[in-house]
Amino acid sequence: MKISKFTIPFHRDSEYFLYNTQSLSLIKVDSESYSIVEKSRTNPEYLQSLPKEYLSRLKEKAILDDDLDTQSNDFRTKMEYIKRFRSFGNKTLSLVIAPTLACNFACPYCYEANLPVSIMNEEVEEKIIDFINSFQHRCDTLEICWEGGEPLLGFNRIRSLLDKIKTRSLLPLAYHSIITNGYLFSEEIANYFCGVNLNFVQITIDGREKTHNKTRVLKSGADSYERIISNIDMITRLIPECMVVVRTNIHEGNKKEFGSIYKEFSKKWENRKVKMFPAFVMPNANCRVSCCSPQEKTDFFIDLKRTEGIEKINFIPRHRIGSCSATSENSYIISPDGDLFKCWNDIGIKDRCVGNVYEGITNNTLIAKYMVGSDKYSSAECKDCSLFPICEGGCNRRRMDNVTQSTNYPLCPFTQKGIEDYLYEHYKICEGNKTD
Amino acid sequence: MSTLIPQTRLYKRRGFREAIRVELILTHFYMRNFEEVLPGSSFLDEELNAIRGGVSENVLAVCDIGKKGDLTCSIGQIGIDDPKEMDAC
Repeated sequence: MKISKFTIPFHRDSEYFLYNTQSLSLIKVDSESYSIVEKSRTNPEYLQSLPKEYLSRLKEKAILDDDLDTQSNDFRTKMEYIKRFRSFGNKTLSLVIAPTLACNFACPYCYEANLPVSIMNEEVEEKIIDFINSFQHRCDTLEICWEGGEPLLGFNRIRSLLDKIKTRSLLPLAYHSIITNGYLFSEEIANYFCGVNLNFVQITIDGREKTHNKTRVLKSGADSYERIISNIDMITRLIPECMVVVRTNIHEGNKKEFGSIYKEFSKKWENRKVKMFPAFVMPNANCRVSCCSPQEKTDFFIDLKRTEGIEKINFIPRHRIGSCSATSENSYIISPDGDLFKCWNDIGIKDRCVGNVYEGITNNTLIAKYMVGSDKYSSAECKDCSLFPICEGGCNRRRMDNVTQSTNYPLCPFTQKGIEDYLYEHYKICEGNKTD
Repeated sequence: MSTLIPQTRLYKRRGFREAIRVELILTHFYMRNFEEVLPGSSFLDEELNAIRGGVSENVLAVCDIGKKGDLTCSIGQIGIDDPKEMDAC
């Protein structure tokens, strides 16, 4: 018997814990047994000093494994099986459609740069319908996400394409969403989307008015805050069944404001279908804001709880299979000229194109690389990492580039210390609840 | 604590009954301090059965590259109808 590869022993302030990412068990133990378990990593014989019943409990919680790593290896294999099952067995055709790559904003962290600003034409629109119908024997339903650029700059194209899907698609539209900066969302557009049952809209607010206007700035230099807030309010009234997700792109310059806007808008839209969430900006070639380090990301959430008193934060890790459009067989991103891509961040980049709506798939090599060569299951290092069961594995595109182009992008979404901090925070919350 | 291994062996050498007594004392000591903060669970089998049955996981995973892409990791799985909390990890 030996300590599992997925066990993390850690301690804080003379309190000792054993955490296992496979069983998701967190056990508080005495310092002696903690020390024995920790030392057993280098010499499993230390475990012999623990009573059998105790060892049995530790094995039950997957803290310990047999000498061949059977439990942890079996678990990992099952995760991979689920991943492949999802990747290849999904019966939904998921399309991200960009009616245009033009944008009215000039955000300093945007990864899209120097892309063509044309709008989709009717010929491409027709071919998209043919492309959808070519999946009639493989898929049952259709999902669409509209994005750009700013997709509402191509609203007329969205409307005409949706009309065609309604009348000519052989796959029923089960879900559709839009990612927009929200500036152009008029009452006319909202009423139209209400009529076609838009399910989901994502709009970004980057902080309080002054901070937001620094990053969510129009190309003309004009501010956008007031109009976006007003438009979100209008959307929640006119499309009450639509989930409005308000995203904040977190970086050094605005991280301290999220707590206050979260509280303000949660109250403002209390009885409406609105969710707010933070997302950290990751560095890219065009990024002009200062991004947070892994520890700063951890501290951000802990501060939200401690300083801002926001209760709705989940510090408990869960299993992450890891999936994205790049690793889903029936998922494609379609650019305004009809090119097909596997990753959102590839849109408009010709050598990342995997085909087009005229000819279908033309680059099976790139698809194969994405599908089975870009996830955490393809990495020997990840497979032996103690965080493997709870980690998404990072961005598949970046992993593929690290392997095929010798780039050196950081992939780990969080650190072991960050997970320890979260677990300890959760423990303290539980202890606080006991004394209350 | 480093004395535990020789100590246990010593008692075992003293006889079976004594070894059992020591085992019980140690078990009591360690079990008393064994506190399950998170009992843990594994939903992988349920997950497999669910996807075999055509039910996809209800997840909004985040892909934090640049300005957008929240739905990147969750295409086909974006039905978050009742969001209750933010995931820190």
